[in-house]
Amino acid sequence: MLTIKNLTVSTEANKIIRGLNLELKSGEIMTVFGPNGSGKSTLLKAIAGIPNYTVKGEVIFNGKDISKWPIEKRAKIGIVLGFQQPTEITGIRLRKLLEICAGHEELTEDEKHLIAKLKMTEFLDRDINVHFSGGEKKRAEILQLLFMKPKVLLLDEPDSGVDIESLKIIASEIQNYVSKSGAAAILVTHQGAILDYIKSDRGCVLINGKFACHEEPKKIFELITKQGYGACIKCEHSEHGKRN
Amino acid sequence: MEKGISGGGVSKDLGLSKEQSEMVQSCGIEPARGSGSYVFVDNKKVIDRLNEKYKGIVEIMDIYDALKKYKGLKEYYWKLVDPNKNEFTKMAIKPDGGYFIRVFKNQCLEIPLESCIILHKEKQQHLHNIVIAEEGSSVTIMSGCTAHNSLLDGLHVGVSEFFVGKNATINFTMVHNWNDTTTVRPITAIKIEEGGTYISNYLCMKSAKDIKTAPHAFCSKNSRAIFNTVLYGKKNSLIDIGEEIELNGDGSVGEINSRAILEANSKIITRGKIVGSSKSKGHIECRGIVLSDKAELRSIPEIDAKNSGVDLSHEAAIGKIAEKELLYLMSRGLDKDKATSLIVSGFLNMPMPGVPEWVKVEIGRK
Repeated sequence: MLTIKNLTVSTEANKIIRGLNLELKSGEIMTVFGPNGSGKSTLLKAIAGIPNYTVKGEVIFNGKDISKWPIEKRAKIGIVLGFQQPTEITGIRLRKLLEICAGHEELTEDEKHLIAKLKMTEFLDRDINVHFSGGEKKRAEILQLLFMKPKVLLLDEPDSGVDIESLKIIASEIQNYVSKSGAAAILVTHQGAILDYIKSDRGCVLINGKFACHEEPKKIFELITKQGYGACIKCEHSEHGKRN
Repeated sequence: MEKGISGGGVSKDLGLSKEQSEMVQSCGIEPARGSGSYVFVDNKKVIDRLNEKYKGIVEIMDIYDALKKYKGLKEYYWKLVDPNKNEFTKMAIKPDGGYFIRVFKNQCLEIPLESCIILHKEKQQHLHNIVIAEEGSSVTIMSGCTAHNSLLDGLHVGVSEFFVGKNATINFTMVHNWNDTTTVRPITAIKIEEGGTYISNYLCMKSAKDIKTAPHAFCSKNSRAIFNTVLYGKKNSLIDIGEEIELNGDGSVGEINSRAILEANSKIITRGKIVGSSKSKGHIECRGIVLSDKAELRSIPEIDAKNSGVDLSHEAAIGKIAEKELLYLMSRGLDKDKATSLIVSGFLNMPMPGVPEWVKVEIGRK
């Protein structure tokens, strides 16, 4: 479904992603770990088409190279980004944004039901993300993404700042959607708890803009928890390790 | 039975031509809808009507009828505004007309009064309006002003004096809908007695040649003055707005909020000023988005503390549309133009109590 070939992402000052390759299949959720500043968010933004980076390499979606497509065009074909730090916008109600995401003016009963399930009904007529807590922002973010009926979900720490009860709901809804729709997802996380509710068989660690380890996500999380990211570089499943 | 209303419009039964009727409607005013209405075209009053139901609660009439009825309105006429203040007040010393509104003591008018001032064929008009909300009363007034597109170099001068009685409330919404060549000089003053509230919502969403106004509110003990202004600078418009609030009584509160969007060659100046001479509180907030390199927005907030118990603040933020807001909306599938339009309408959509739904819809369209 999504293929990334030799992806390099740079700012004026730094090369952040250094020649990444990735293949993501329908129904697959890939978990990406990595220390702060390793390039996880940049990777997702580059795939989503956020400008302000110099991007080289190919981003191929269902056979088409979309690496030059603008962000809104990628969103329309179903490549959508859940932001790590969702933007606050004064004067526009969450309801309006959800209607835009859903592609129609009146929210359907099913959509209202999902909003209620994510405990966001009372936020519908509030300005987008303004004075929302961290967890409320993440719940609003998941609603937007799911209403867009994406093909590829780019989830940048959907679990950060979220209480355990909300985490279960968010993760279950992501899993439900992926299972039913056959969409693919890249999940960036620092937490292990979300992996209890999401079926992700594939994990990797991003260090200095390169994948350093490929392993079952829970095992990676266990390794990181016990030994830190340094262990990932030495891991037998690491590209670095194989080379040595 | 009311005559002249058909599909929300005003027919010539009420004294308006079809063209004038359309102009009235363009301001969102429907003279037969409210509790009472006043329509003034060029240099003469065309409508001053009061729904029978509200007799004894409120009066609405032409200023000359009021001057006659109340023997010169000695306590009100030219009491807040100096007739010799400037060349424009001098023009209105003998006004062409204007509305007189009086809400009787302890009466609450739940349905708004509506007024519309039109420049149609005459080059100039000079008005003098007086609004009195007696002790404990409450009123909402919707006022629209417009000029015919074919009229060149029109001048509108309007002196308005508002008297908010003890514990009374006036909620005044004014929508300006002029044309590219009209010069507009509203001269407004408001006296607010103890516990009274004056709320002004001013919206100018169409281009005008030159609008300059500096409404001045005088607040007594525990009273409130709130000015909300939404401006959309278009074409070559020059808009200079300078509300001033004097907090003269302990416990008084003043707020000046403005939102401005500028495009093309427009220029907007917002000069809110709050003077605290008592144990009072005031805040000025000016925000603006400049969409054109040829437009100019100048914000000049001024706070002046003359009492140790005063609490005054101001904040101003002007600039371009935040890129992260644009990208966020574009990441949801909107193209740049649609995302910009949504941000602009959201930016202008500040809370304005008493503003009718149609005005909010109009803002949303921008």
